[in-house]
Amino acid sequence: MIGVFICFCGQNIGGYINVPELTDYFNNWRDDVVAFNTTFLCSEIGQDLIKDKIEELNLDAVVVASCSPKHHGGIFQNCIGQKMNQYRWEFANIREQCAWVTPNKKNATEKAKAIIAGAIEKAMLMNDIGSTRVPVTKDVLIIGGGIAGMHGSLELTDKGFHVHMVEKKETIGGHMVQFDRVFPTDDCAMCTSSPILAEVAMDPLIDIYSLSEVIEVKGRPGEYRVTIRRNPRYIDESKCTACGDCTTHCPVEAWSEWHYGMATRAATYKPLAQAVPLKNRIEKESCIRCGTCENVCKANAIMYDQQPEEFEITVGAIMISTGYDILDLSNTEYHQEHPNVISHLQLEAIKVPSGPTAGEILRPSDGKMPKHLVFVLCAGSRDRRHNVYCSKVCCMYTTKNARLIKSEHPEMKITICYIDVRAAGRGYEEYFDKAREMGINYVRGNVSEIVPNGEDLILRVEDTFTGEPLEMEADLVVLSSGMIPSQGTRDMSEVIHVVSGADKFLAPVHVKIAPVDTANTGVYIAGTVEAPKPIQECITDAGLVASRISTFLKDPEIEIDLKTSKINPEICIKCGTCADNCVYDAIDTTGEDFKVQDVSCQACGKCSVVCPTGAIDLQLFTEDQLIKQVDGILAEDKDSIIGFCCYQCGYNAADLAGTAKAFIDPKIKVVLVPCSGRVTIQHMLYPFFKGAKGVFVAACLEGQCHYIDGNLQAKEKVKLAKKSLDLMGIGGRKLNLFNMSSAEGPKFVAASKRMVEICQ
Amino acid sequence: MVIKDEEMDFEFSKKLEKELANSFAKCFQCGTCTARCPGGIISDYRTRKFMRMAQLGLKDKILSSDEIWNCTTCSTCKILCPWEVDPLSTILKLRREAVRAGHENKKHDPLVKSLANYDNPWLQPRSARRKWYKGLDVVDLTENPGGADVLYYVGCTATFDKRLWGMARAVIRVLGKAGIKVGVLGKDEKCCGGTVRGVGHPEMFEALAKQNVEDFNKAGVDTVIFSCPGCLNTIKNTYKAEQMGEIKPKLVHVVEFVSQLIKDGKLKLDKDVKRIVTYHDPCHLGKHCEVFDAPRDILKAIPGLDFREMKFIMKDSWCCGAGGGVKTAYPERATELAVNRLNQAEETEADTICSACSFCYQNLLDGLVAKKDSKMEMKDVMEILAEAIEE
Repeated sequence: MIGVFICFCGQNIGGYINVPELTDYFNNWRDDVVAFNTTFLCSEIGQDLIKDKIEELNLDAVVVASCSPKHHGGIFQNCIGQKMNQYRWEFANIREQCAWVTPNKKNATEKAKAIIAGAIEKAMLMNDIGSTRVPVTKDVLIIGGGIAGMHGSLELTDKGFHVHMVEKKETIGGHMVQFDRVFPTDDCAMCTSSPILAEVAMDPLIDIYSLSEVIEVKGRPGEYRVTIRRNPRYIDESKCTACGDCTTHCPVEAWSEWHYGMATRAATYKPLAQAVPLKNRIEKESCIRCGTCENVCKANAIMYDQQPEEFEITVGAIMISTGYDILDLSNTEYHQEHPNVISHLQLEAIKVPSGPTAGEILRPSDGKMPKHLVFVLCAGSRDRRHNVYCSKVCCMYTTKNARLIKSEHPEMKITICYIDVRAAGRGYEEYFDKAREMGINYVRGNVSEIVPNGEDLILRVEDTFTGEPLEMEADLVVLSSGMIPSQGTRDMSEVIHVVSGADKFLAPVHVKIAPVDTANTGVYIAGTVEAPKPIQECITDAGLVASRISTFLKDPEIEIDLKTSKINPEICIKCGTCADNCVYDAIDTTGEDFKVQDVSCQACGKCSVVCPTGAIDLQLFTEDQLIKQVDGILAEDKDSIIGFCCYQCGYNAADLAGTAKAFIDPKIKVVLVPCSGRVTIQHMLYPFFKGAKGVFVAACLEGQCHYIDGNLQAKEKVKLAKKSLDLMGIGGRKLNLFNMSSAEGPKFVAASKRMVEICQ
Repeated sequence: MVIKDEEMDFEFSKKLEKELANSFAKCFQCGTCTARCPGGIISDYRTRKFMRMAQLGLKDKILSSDEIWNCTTCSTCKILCPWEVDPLSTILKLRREAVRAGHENKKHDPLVKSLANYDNPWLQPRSARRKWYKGLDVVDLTENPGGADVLYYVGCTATFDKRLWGMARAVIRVLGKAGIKVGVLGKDEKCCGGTVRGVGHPEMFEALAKQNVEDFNKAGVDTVIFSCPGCLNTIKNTYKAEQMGEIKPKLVHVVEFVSQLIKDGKLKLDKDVKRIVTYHDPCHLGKHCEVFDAPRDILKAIPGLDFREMKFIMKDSWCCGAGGGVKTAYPERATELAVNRLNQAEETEADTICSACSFCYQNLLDGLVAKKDSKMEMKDVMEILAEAIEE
């Protein structure tokens, strides 16, 4: 027995729809349906009515015909949940999507009948939806020990979590500890970061794995099993005291990667005095195996035969902070292969007081101080041949370096060529203003050519303010090279399957309102792994990730409602198509039967759409429920146009059209789906077989699907289904996809109007 | 001077942008194009400013401008633009609009009139087209379709400028040596239309194009060979882009064709050529048609020849200054750019500068005359190649 509860909502529904007629209609509709009405169903009186009738009539399911579920859905779920399973109900949105958009009371009442009939049919198939609890591990994995990783780790250990920090290089610290100073305060970078390094090193709750990589992540949110490969240091960390005897005696002189080739090092070295862990390392490529270090090491720490080792740890959540690299502009039009064309990171390596020239600006080719130093901004940025995007921080660090050098050497001519100076940030404009006052020459024009001229360079650039082409001679050129995701960052989209954007930086779930969450539950991103950004934003990200992780892991267990997908092992042929189509890695294909990991599943339903046998289906919004709902609607009004609206955007836009009291033709009937990617080709074709006049899908804007690519998959399916409709003689034009944001009510109105026109 | 609201014709701007794909609307005024523009060296022409004026729809200001005629159509702007917009197409479009609005460059009048009357820009009668190949074994394909292996489309400049006959005749000699029978269109050869299009007369261009497509298809050969990259680019790329009709034969520059002959062993080079040679990339062969290696392959295959590269080559090559109607309208400016290029060539200490373009040949030759003191000699790649072949 299904109980239908119809709300007057005062005059909000009652003024537009004949509620008593509707109640009578459904009381006489079928033996297994009873109908009631009340003034305000959401009030205590209304809720009591529902609860009483569930008990009194032993109802199997409830249909609530009232406002949008986005409005009071929670109230009704809670109310019904007190008497039976909280999912044994279905709503019929007769306010926003019927009463408020249909001026004629008779038409509105007829439309309401179809909406409620659809809801009843769907409710007939409602099952209990249980929940499950899964335990979580309180340990956290941080990948990448730069400034974001370090800050995040300290925040997390302050909250009592145990942190595993994996760092690819021989020391943590990242780019920041390689800088001379940082803008806009001109603080010494090492003075600012070394206390953080020391704190991380001493924190008993942080395990640091240097020279290590994450090579595999399995398991589920709350219990990720992570395989780490630790590459050999060729020095026993437990014995090495970093005394430096091996370095002193090592006969090798090789270019130092840490200094971007601006300095040399021995084959055994530590990259900086503040390294964490403070241990030496033998770099295998340059080591000549002469045995000198072995002879001089009093701690007996040299281990030439050390092998890589792999081990597994279990963590509840993961923070990715694998950072950035910069474009290598060697052998391009920027001629970075010329000794006197260097990147800004190479300039930092020269400028640090511990660098090869003790901080003095001497050019690489001959060690002379440059007379005319030219900075080239946007080197490989805002350029479709390299990086389309702006790297955001270059204007400021370039201004910083120019200012620092100018204040030391007022006689040096310093030019900065730029397209636009982007100095948006607290104190930035003032910082830029001061640079001009100091006599730094800003030329507004992109450098069009750098021509090697012996040891010097000739640059061609238009001074766009005077409109005159300039030919400048420079004896040192510094490229403000664009930032790109580091190799580690790019690897993460393979190892953890975190979605990345066209720029290959990792993508947050929502760039504005969920900036550090990823589509993978329990996996978060911080710092330049997401986009180029200044240090303070990396710190902000890391703090937010620590907060998000502590929320996620606050209880020993996470409770999950099982409205997720489920696989019927009887008919599953284990083809793996569902797993390939799942961006959340929620389908476990390792066991004897394929299984959905409920904690990972986001219940979008894209898996059920691609399953060739129908073995996988959502437990809410099942295949049959959606078909039956369409049946119910079309049985009442076969002239309907069925609109499958996604929960995140299309449905909201339809509600907004109602709130705005726009007119929507009563032919339009909305069927809610979790994501447009859940709509199958069968869903698109079936209504036509039952006489529907048209079908449309209302999805999120492209690039903004809340389940990454559901709307793009829907787009492909609509294309195919259109062809089928053409072949069947029905006409593909009667099926359409509309993209709209959740705020675009007018777009829904326009889409409805268009559908009615097409489907006359 | 204040620009008034009514001077900003955004409809004009919108219409232009619609007709030009991926054009000036997205330009962010970085000036990359302008800093390296040859037209900007010889005049106050600033590519970037025209892109900006087009964005603002400053119709009258653009169309009545004298500067716009200083573009040599070298395409450096298009190659350098970091945002992949196409300044060159914008400029050509603006020139067309200028002519339509009655602002044609008067200095192009003789050229345009000559084309209308004689199918060539040099004020020469059609019958004079036969002079250059006097005494050579050449088939007139208009009289004898299919009577040759290839059609050699010599182009107006080499046809009428006697100084270039050596080049055209060298082509016949070299191909003859490889056993290839060469055909021509004789007095019926017509201008490709590239120049009139470049100076803003699309309807004249269209008439010539349609005629050429027909002539090529009627010639009965499967390959058409060009000496002039301007003609090649126009016929191969522009005809296609502007849908002037399908051409059945393959269209290649003579250096592409000959370098393949050498590779295939069909052309033997048996004489030493004692020259120090540098090569100037013609913009229309290099930047427009992307033929960079073929001329170099030929020069490197010549025994005894010392080949030296200039500092700016291939896509970075500087324009000789002749193209885009600049040589016709402002010969002294074209010569100035030629001298600029010759100075770069002299840095290699070569005794010969060669190219593979009739127009570059003509202009660099004028540059050598203007320079007076230069010891370099101007040659076409094919002329040097002919020196390596025994009679």
